[in-house]
Amino acid sequence: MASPREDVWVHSSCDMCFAACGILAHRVDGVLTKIEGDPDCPASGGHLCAKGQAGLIGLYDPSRVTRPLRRINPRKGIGVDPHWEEISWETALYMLTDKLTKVREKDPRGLVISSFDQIALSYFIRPVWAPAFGTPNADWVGYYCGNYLHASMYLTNGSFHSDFDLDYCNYAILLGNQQGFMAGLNATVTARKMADARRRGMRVVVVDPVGTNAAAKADEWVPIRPGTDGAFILSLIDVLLNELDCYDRDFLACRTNAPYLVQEDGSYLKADGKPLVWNEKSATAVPFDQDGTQPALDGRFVVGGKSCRPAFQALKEHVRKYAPENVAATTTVSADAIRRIAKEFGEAARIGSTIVIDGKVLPYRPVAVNIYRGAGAHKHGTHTALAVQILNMIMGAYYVPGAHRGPNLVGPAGRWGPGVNADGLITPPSAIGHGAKYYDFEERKPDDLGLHELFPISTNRSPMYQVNLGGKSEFALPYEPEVLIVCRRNLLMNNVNPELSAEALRKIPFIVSFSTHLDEVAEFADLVLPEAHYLERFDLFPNRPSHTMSPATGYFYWGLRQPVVETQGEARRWIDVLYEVADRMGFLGDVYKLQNVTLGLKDPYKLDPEKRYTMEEIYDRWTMSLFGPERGIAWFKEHGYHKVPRSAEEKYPGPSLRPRFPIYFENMLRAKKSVANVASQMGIEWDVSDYQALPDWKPCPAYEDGKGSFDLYVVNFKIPFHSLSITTQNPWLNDLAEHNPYAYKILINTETAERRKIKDGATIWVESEAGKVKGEAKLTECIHPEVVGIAGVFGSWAKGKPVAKGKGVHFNTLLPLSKDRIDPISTGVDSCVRVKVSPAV
Amino acid sequence: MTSPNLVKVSYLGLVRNVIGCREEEIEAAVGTTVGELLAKLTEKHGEPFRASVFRSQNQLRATALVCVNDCDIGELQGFATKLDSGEQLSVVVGVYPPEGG
Repeated sequence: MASPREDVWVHSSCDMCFAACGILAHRVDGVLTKIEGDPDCPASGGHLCAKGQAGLIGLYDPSRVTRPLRRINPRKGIGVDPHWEEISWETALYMLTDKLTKVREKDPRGLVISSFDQIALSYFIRPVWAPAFGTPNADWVGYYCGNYLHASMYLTNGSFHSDFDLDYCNYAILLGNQQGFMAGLNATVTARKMADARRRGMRVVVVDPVGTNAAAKADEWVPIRPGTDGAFILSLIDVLLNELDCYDRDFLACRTNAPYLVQEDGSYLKADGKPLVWNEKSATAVPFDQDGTQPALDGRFVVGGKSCRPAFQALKEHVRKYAPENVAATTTVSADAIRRIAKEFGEAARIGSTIVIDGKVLPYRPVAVNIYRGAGAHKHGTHTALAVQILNMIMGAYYVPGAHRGPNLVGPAGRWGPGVNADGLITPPSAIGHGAKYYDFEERKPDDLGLHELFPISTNRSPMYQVNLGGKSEFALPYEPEVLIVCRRNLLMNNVNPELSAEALRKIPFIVSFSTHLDEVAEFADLVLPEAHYLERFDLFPNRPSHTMSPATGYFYWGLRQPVVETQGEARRWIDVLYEVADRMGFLGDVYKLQNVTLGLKDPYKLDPEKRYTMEEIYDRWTMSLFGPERGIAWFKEHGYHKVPRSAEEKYPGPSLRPRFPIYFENMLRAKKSVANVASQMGIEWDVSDYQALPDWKPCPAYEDGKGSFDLYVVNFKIPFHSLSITTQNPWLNDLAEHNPYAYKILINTETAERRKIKDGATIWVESEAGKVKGEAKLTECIHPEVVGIAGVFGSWAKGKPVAKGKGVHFNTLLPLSKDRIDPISTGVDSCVRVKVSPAV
Repeated sequence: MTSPNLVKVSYLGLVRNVIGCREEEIEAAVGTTVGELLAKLTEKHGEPFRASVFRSQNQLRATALVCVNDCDIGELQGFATKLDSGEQLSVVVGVYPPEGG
């Protein structure tokens, strides 16, 4: 047998979820034969999950789109055959350029871009291509994964995510999330660290309506009623502060705004523009940053005739109404359980203790409560997130060993770090949260579909795109959407009820979809362009040091995704196509000028607006500009990663930071006035009641919906071997799901089902006010008795996804959308929905 | 007689939606500050330019960036940054950039 001509392993990065683990791809004679975790990559450490390994079979999926397609059938709708016609790239580019030229001449804001391709969006589309074109509407992204979360984190920890230190944590409460159980940041690394921590004796309490993968492995599963997580957390805070007197006084006094004096109207008491604290030494009010102060946390004072109290005192009084007996009926968690968990958490925090790491003495607070999507995907989700952060802060469990942290508040060797506002509070580093101006608001009528000025404390306002497009918009923007470009974002599957999304899409005259498959959104497109598979394309720094890289990896690192095989058919990377269109339309020079600014390219690596570069040449200049001439793209192709170990201060920056963290959100009161003014300018009625200085639990609209037979809640949960809808067409992952007892089923509590005479395996209907779905009942005790659970984003219907079509149940069909069903601060869509369940006959 | 010092000004991003040019050369003596040049540009291009770039007289919008030779003036001396001979000014208006799903 002849030996193969080629047998190589290629460094690249996975793209089956946003964790972007480093991979080694084995190519033999041009054919990919195996994908493994890259041992040299800090993000994977040589491990790779089922999704990553299954990427191989997806590459060779015969149902991939390989040629540009033009729609012949003008009628659009779910299940309507577009009657595709193959066309050449030249024809496709002519059509696209023509449409974009016309919309740019009419009003460039009429172009809308929708994508969840975070690398393309973050480096090329949002900061560069879209502004150069002239549209602010480049951010139609996710609807409820992190809408409430990211803004809450920017505000409270200065970074983009919620993370915690598994190296030293001894007690973790996972509130509606599965961090450490193949979910979240750097999933493979944190899964191994979670296993090590459990072996070490760490206690894990999972609070979730569903007995998830994480709950199944936890020490304790607390089945909670959906949408009541905020009440549970506020009750823990009440027990710790008002019953156990358990809090980190030094941290609160010196590292937060807990001692700031607040007046009866909730605003800070200030002198010369500075918040005041009550100095117990002098019995006077002094500026918060005066040296030698011993600030009071408790009590009430009169200063200059004004009644005031420390923010901490306000917090203590505020949470009294959440005494365990008061929330037990709401949450269905017993008062005894709340008290016990609070006590365990407080004791495990070891307040006052220190630990020596790398020769540094650091505070040791080995507890964390962690959130991601589940707990906050509700109408008042921002309140829940802020309550969680307050709980971490009162323990002093913030950016120290064992505790909560944001992933990258400080960069390597001080390359970036947090800012500080005039009140001494943390603001995000410009490298992470430029534009997250959460203390200072612009009161003007918004002109983007996301309506930013109506949501000044938010990161992404995607649901407002659809609220604006669906039905009759009350917001009266001065232009109409004319063209939608969509890539890697299934607006039908991953939003709310597909009929509502279809109604929005039908409002847009011309839709271009860059697609690997003729998926549900491609079926609405006028032009489909074949998008390159992630194993066929370049992406520089797919695991971004600023945003998505957990300190758990132990490094800052820079790597790449590179083609490991030849591109199938005529597929191209959408950024390459849009850059070519910019060239044809005459604004590529502006794109390059913006790129020089946004990437911070230095001479001699700046892009010349008069020249033309391939994307690989741009990457080459970018890497050399960052790391010097010896670290061009060729070096990265061969070696994979440029790595910088994190020092103890870079893993645990808390003690060395200057800005304070907020436990009291005085800025919300100013945001309230600002939003009211903006709404007034727009001539609309707007609810501003959620802008509060301290968080509350408020019932979701679903609590009002429980009438008649709509007597259960439905929730969605994540399973570790699927990611959004992008993995559903993968045959190997479909195989796993078919053999999993829960993935494609509708989970219902055994007793609840028996009362309705529903047997395991029976076909049932689940119906909400928005829609209805049918599926196979799976009876289990691992779900709250008032809840039915549906996993993942299954239930595809597109003909172009033959593996996924008809498999599982589509949860989002049950979700309504209206401005009354979103979090009024973040725009996160409320996924707390009442349903009725009945046997299908 | 020496020729006047000309500063090349580029308009990038959404600010281009409200003014009629992509770039222009503005006469400004060596040592003119960025703030002084921006005041001149505001006078020339009027209210749409001001509203696109500024929140108040001395404060840029969250979405606006002003660069000298591609370097953010926030990393230089802000509006007090002095312009030398042959330097280029870029006025960039982008979109609210924090991301997330």
